[in-house]
Amino acid sequence: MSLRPPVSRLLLVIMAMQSACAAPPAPPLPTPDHLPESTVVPSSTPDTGTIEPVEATDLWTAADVEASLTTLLGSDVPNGNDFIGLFRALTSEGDSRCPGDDLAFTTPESSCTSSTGWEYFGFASYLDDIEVRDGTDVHIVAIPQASFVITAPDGRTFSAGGGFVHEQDLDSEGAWTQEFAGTFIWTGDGYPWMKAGTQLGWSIQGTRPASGSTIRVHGPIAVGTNWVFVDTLDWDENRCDGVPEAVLRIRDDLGRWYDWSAGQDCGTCGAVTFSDASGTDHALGDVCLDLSDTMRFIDEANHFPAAG
Amino acid sequence: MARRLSSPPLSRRQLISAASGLGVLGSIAGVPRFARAAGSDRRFIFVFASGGWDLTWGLVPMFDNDRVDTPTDGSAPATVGGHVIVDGPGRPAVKSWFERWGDRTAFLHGFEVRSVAHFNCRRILFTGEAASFGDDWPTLIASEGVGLDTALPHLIVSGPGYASSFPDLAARVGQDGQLGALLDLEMLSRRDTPLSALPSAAEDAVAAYLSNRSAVEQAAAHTAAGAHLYGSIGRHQDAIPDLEAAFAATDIGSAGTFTEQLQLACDVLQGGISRCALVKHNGFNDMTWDSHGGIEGQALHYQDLFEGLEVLMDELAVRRGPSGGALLDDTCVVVLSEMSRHPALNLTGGKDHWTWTSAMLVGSGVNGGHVAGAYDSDVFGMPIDPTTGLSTPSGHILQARHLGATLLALADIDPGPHFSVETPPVMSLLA
Amino acid sequence: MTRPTPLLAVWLLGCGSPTLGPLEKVAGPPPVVDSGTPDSPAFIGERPELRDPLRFFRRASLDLTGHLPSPAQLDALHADPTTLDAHLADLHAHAGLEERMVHVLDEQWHLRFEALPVGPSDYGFDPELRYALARNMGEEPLRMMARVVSDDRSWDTIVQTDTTMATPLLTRVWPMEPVDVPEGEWAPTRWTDHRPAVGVLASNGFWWRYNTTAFNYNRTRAAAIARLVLCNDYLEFDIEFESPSLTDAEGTEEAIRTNASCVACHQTLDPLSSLFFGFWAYDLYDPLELSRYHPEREPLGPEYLQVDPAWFGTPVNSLSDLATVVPADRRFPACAVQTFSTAMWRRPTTEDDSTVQESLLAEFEANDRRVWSLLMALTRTRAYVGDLAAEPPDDARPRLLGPQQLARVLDQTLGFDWHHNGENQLDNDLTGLRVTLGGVDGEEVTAPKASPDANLALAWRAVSQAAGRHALDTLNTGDNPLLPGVSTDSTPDDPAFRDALAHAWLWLTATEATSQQLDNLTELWRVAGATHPREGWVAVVSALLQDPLVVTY
Repeated sequence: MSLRPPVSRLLLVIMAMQSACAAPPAPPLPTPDHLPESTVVPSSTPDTGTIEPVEATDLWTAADVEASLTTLLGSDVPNGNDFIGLFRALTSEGDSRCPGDDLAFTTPESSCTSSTGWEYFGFASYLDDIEVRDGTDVHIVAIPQASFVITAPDGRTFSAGGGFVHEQDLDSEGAWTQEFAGTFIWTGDGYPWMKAGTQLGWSIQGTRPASGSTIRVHGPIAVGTNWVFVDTLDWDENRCDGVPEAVLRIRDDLGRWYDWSAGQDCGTCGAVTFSDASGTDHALGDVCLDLSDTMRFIDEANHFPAAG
Repeated sequence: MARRLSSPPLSRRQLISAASGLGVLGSIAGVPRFARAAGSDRRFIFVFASGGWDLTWGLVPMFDNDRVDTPTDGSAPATVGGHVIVDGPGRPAVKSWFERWGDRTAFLHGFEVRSVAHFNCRRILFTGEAASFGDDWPTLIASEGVGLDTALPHLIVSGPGYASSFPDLAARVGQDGQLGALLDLEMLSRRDTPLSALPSAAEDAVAAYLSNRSAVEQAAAHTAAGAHLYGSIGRHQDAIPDLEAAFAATDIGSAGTFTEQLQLACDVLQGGISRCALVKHNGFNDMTWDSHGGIEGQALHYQDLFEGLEVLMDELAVRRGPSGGALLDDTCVVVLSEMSRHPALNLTGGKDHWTWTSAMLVGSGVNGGHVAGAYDSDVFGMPIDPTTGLSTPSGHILQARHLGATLLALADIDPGPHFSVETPPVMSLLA
Repeated sequence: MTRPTPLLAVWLLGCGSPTLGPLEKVAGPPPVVDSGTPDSPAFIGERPELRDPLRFFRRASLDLTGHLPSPAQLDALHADPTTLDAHLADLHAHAGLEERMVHVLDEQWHLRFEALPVGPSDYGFDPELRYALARNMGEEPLRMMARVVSDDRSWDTIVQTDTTMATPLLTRVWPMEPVDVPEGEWAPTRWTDHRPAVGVLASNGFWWRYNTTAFNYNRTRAAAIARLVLCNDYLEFDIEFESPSLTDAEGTEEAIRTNASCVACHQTLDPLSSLFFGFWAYDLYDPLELSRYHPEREPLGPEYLQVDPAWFGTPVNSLSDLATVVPADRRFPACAVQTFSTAMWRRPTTEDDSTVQESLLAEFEANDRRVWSLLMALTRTRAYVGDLAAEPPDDARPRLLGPQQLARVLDQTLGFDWHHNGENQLDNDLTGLRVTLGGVDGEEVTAPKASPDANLALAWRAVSQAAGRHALDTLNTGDNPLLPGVSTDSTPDDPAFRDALAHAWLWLTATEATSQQLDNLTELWRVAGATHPREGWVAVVSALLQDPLVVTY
């Protein structure tokens, strides 16, 4: 029996295939001008070149933790529908040559520019297909290798480094899995979480029987300068009025991690603690956060009805 | 592996003149076919299949193992030249090669290169360890025996070369043919503003001046080691004209094909310029053997490799060697790859990395027809008795360093001091 | 092992996170604490008597700055050999110190590496930027460490600073604040992606060289840190045991935790590895993933490795904590001593050096772990003086000039450089001669040449002829520092002719040319220039640059 949680299959696909083999060239980074401002820390460096030492700060308060959680797991949670939707929208701006009618493209050496002025560079192994596994139809929507930069004629860029694999059983149970990992930035409007810059590596397992959906989420997620590690986000819409069981870790900008858990008793409140290097826990207060709407959103926003 | 803190003393180098016999001499009638060089005189050509070969497509049939995804192109096992190989369409060169040279070939199966990263595997394959120090087998071989009497003891025609204790023993042709450009001074034109070399008379004058200078400094040195250093500088500078002459008939530009590089390797061995040479086979059309997709490409790689090996063996067979017979009788050819490929196909019709692999030894000093080691049903290497090469539960589980120990033994070098753990050579591979 | 002060207490006391502000050059030679009396452990002692102070100063100048002493320095030292230590101290202000430290450290850190995971095409750059990009990326942590040396800061800074070094090109591809210097020049900057302030331990240049694969879980990185920062090389110890195949993942995992031979290393290796998951990339070749620090991924380490983070038994919370525990580890300063001893002695240290190493360590600590003080102490050791001692050991000998030093000498004396299509031919291996000239490539060749070989001789010949040919261009413009006062029309009858040769000889070798040596050079000029005097000058320069006293030091 494995002694550690299974490494996500997407991670295995990406890393095992690319570890130390012939390196496929990857697309360029957006230039600093295209990076959203929230991902660039304004320099404290005056023109003279003097950099002031970082001032000492206290630990975060429970309110600080709540603010970070609310920002990251509020109404604008990274999701597959947004990602695939944006990808499809932007690749459809091209033409049949660039990037091509199937929307996937491989332009490792140099970008292609469509007749409409959209530029596509890198790898986007997009697929949308139905497979039969053990007698069950499985709808697969994926970009297993998403390593690209799409540039609009006006300079907006959509940059991706990572992968996305969503598999949905088309039976009554409706089990689905999703692995969504990497760094994703869209400098245009419409998707705040991508405009802020998102880095994540999470796995989602869900079901959608008629009786009610379930979801389990695990993995790291960062939007802008909010960083959370989802140890457990376990939701059953029929349980506890949709309040999920949550065990989350939240990071501050000095690298300290805070723990918050709630929902074990169907409640939305839980204590925030900080554990120092000696192992001593410091209680920082309670945070009450109802994540039921967030979970419903995750369920709805990661739904890919079968094509046709 | 023992770390050496200083280079060994160098003996007087014997350099070959232009009339020494570079090039093809034609067949040599009457030379005993199985004349063998003494181990310390034995030369080595290493052929490195870069990227990880799939043994099941060429060298190790596993058709009776249902855990292994074997070729579905009509390939089948075949006994050729005393070895059971994979004979299949698209790679007839494999069978024809074994028909001619199988009886001079031995295999070492089932040694592990303990990494799954090419970068680490190459180093482990050639040095026995992943540590950042350590010289590779060709360099260690070149540091002793007849290697001491050569100008470029180990020539890396293409491929990797690991050196920490003996960086001065391994010369590189260079990815851009730098060695050739240095020999004819075409290197000076490889500059944003090209420059021209000295006229030959002027260069001769400089050489004579420098020869005198090193002799003066050698005599005036305050320590024995200093005198040795200055003397060594002088000897190497003095040897440049002979080295130029020795390479005069050989084009060592790096743009050469695999076959041309093998011929260069023969040139330097025959010319007494090197004891060892390494040539990389980068797969058919430089695709490398790293077939993570489209495993059927392995057929092309095997065909290309063995076509080249055919030329190599022919060259070795017709060239005169230092012992008076064919160069083949003085030379051991080692064919190896840093890994093999997973028993099962992956999602893209290829195979991923597998740590167990094999090596092929051909020619001088080799127990032709012998197979040491084997794979179990999981395609793990089986433990063997190194004296017999046979699998035995109480035997040694082989790693890359066992291959290294075997090669050192072939070169008449005691492997013991080179390993800090017991590493017996597979003596059954030695004739 | 004692536990460190809880970091929470440190923060609450207002010490803040241990960042140390900007890396700025300081003026003047740095002070060196008196190294004590003969009775104290910090006392290195007097330098062995030198038989040739000028050659010794030449050695130190090449080792510490990559440059030859100037003719003026040689004259001054010749006039008063007692000023040697003052001249050595002045080397700290030399403009070449920082670049030389980059190369000195790289011989052991192996960061000036060709096979980086991304290249110019990944950024839409011209292919001719390959060399510049690779060197910029590899040198980023080296430049930071070199700046610590030239800035005369404590060596602790390399694992505590929030500052690194960058060129404008680097700031275009990595998340760094922009730098206001011309392209190709380096200046301090900071990362903008909230990576911890742990200096080289949070450096892209370091982690791109020492990367990880999916199932290696940063162990390679942890092993690299241990080797380079503590001189504790996990891979140095051969372990023989019956182990499962690497392909047996579960068996391997089990062995890591239960097999005594595996546990011996992994009990410290894995907790250390767990700290580096902010550098965990889901795509090992995507520049976006590789370039940025991922704070949200830090907890993956303990999760994947099933261990709590720790530094060799000392529990830590996160990577940030290494800024405190690493300098507190006794091996850290000892390794610095070993590293710079290896660099200066041009050989690995051995057990026979232990007494001297202890003395050097004591002196290093007494001087707040400032590397310059260590380097000065090393110049007083018998191992460094070597064959230049009045009574040298018989196994002592000069060392060979390396490619960086050769390049600086050629630039310094002749204004010569060798670039081709954006590649520095003396500093790259794809098209150039770096390894051939005795350099390291950080991948396959991991130690410089200690002995000459045929390939090196060929390279010297080519480089010297090229430099000699280049020298012709400046002979007539009067802009030739090596051969002042002469032109291509000068002949041995001109008084300046012999003076120029003498000047060149002195500058290149730090010895005075004898009359016979000047006669020999003159004769060379005549013979080589028989058809045209210009060739005589090329020949003379070529001969000088290949002279055994020039290519050794």
